[in-house]
Amino acid sequence: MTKISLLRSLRDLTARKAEKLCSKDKPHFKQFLKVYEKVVVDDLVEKELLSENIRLVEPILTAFAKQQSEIPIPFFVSEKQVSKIRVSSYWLEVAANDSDDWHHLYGKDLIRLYEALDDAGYLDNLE
Amino acid sequence: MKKIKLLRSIDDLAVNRHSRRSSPHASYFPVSLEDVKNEIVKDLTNSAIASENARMVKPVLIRYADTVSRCIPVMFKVRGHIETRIRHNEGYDQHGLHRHWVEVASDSGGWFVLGDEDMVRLYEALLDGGYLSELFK
Repeated sequence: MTKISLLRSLRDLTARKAEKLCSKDKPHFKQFLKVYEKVVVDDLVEKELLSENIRLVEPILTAFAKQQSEIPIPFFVSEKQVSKIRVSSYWLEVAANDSDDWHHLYGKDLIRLYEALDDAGYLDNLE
Repeated sequence: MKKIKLLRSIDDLAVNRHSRRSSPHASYFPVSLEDVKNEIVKDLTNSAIASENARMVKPVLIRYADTVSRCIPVMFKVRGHIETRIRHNEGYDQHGLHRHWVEVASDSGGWFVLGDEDMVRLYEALLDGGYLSELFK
């Protein structure tokens, strides 16, 4: 087992993520790190936006699923159309119309479903 | 139900956080949006560093618990309680993915999963005490 050098700063984190992309021996590594720092921060911000948006839309989709079990618009998850929605003990689940194979709805799919339902006006009268 | 506005940028995030902090019950000290933005980046960076460090030290702690000792030979407290035992456990998460984790317990208490920052603290304490040296040979 090799000894671990813990990360202490954004520069360390950037170097760690950049390691996979280029070698430290390369002459432009330092210059590359400076540019890459912004990429790392942008990536962190994007993940934070996703998790904050999930936190915002989850109660609304839960309220929607409690009110009706059908997804009234064409909606695809992993290229498969799903048309049923339900609230399980911990999360929202979706399934194809003719199937009892329920899948946990999470991440970007939650946001996509919220936006699609909102655009089509299905969330307007939600209590 | 109140209509929500999805957040699209760090500026949206900052406005969202800033409005919470500017409520009548929040701090009396005014903070600028730019300060809030910098804070967000700092928080995100710190938490990413903690989780990357935890990802790196977890295999070491697992190896320690599996091959060296199931005792914690250094003073290690979590939320004020001294934890003295360590073990490796595994199972499936909510997405059905197989995961490994590190659990600790006090002499008389039950086992619980060690969080990211605590894993790093335990790693550093064991390392400083020289208890990991045989793993790094």
